[in-house]
Amino acid sequence: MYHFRQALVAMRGNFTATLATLMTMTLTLLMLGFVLLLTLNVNRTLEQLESQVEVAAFLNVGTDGAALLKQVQGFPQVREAQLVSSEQVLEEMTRDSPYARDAVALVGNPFPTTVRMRVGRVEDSRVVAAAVSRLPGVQDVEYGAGYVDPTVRALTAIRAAGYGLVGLLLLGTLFNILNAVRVAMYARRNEISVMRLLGATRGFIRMPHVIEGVLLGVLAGAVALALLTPAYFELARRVQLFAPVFPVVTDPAVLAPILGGVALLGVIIGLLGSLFASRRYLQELE
Amino acid sequence: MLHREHDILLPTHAAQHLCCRGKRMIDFKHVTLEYPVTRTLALDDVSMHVGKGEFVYLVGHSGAGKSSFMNLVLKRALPSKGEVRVAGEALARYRGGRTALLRRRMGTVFQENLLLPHLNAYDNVAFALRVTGVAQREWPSRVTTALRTVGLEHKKYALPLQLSQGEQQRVAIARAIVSDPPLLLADEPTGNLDPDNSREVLKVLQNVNLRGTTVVVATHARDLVETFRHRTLTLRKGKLVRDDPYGGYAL
Repeated sequence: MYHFRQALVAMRGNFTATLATLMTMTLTLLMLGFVLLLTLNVNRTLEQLESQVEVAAFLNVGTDGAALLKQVQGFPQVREAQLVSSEQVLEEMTRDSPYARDAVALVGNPFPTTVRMRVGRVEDSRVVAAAVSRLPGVQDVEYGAGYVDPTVRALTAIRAAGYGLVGLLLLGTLFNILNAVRVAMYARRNEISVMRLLGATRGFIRMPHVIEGVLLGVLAGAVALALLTPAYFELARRVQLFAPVFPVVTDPAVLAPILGGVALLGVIIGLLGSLFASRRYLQELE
Repeated sequence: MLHREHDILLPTHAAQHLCCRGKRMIDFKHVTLEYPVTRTLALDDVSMHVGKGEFVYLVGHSGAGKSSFMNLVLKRALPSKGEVRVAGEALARYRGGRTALLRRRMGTVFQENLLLPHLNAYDNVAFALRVTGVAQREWPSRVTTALRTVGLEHKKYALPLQLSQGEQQRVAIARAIVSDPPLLLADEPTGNLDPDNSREVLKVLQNVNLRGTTVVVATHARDLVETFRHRTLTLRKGKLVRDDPYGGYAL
């Protein structure tokens, strides 16, 4: 109780530093939460892309389709492969666009026998396409390069930029906590010097400041969650309304560990920052 | 006879008499202290000892090494050469967090009383018990006894600012002795006081000594040393130049 009271006294005594630290921490946790939620949704979108992306190999006339199918099924990246005859392709095409039948009547069936493959990860589609295109009997390969590559690149870049930004903010927050604890300890320097002379352990001297760091973490985590949660659900509602193609995650069971983790990280940063700063301050006095 | 409080071994009243091996409370063996940055030789090959239960003055001009002596005993400084022992134990044994254990076995009083301004006399004295993890139920009797020893029991609710300089110093002495340390170090305890208050503080320190506590007083106050005669160690330019068992100020 004594340490807790001292922590509150220290926070009130250095109100400006405390407020600055609290704001930076809240901002960092908000950014982190935002990036994590974005990543979750990016991953979900990538998963959907992965389940839809298909690599199609068009075979030359006379190629042994069954042998080629066996060959591509041996590729580790290929999750499933299927041989589709030119007649089946024609069938599909005329189902989708009935005018194709008229064209066939004029020039015959223009569609080649095709091997369709689904890959484990969307990033693998290019590798598989390149490998399959080198196989004998393959005329051409198509894998939706027009949108898969840029999409994967853009999403990966967004994720990386987010992580980079959060990393910098975390570092900034840590320095802020170090500074706040240092200021608080400096303000208590007379008391600390008396404590040391009286034989107080380092743990006893540091305890109020460690509590201060943890309290700041808890407060920042709570404020960040209070802002982030309703903002995310509102954004998700709008995305579902205006761009339903994106599979936005709104399942509380999936979101809870992420949001809880953000709050927990706030506490951990507060704890680590205050432990480090108070230890360093006392070491300097030795 | 030691009891454990917050993982720290505290001497009990009875244990204090058993805590010191042999009869020496402070033992300096060829101790030299040179401050590395300024290369100042603060103490030069000093060998001496202070017996258990003694009252000893440490006198000398400014810069003679009195405070350095105190700093070594408190382990605020480490000897460049030689060995310092307190209560029979080499101070080199106390490293890192264990320094706190050492300091619990000695009370300290300085020229500046270092009282916490927002705490009253009672709380300032109790602070020493709080930081060493003494159970709260023991505080009232121990604090009251310490304040009675320095003659300030009636002013226990006064803030430091409401006390005279001499009274503040007596509260500082009460704080230093409330844990019943076997050793009390006082560095210029009368430096800021008028002659009357100085004599009062010296009487209190003598009373503390009569309870069995070893007392070492570093001072400039010639009249006090002459009036309240005790063994006097004289330092000059870091050297121990005189050890007078009957006291007297001779620089």
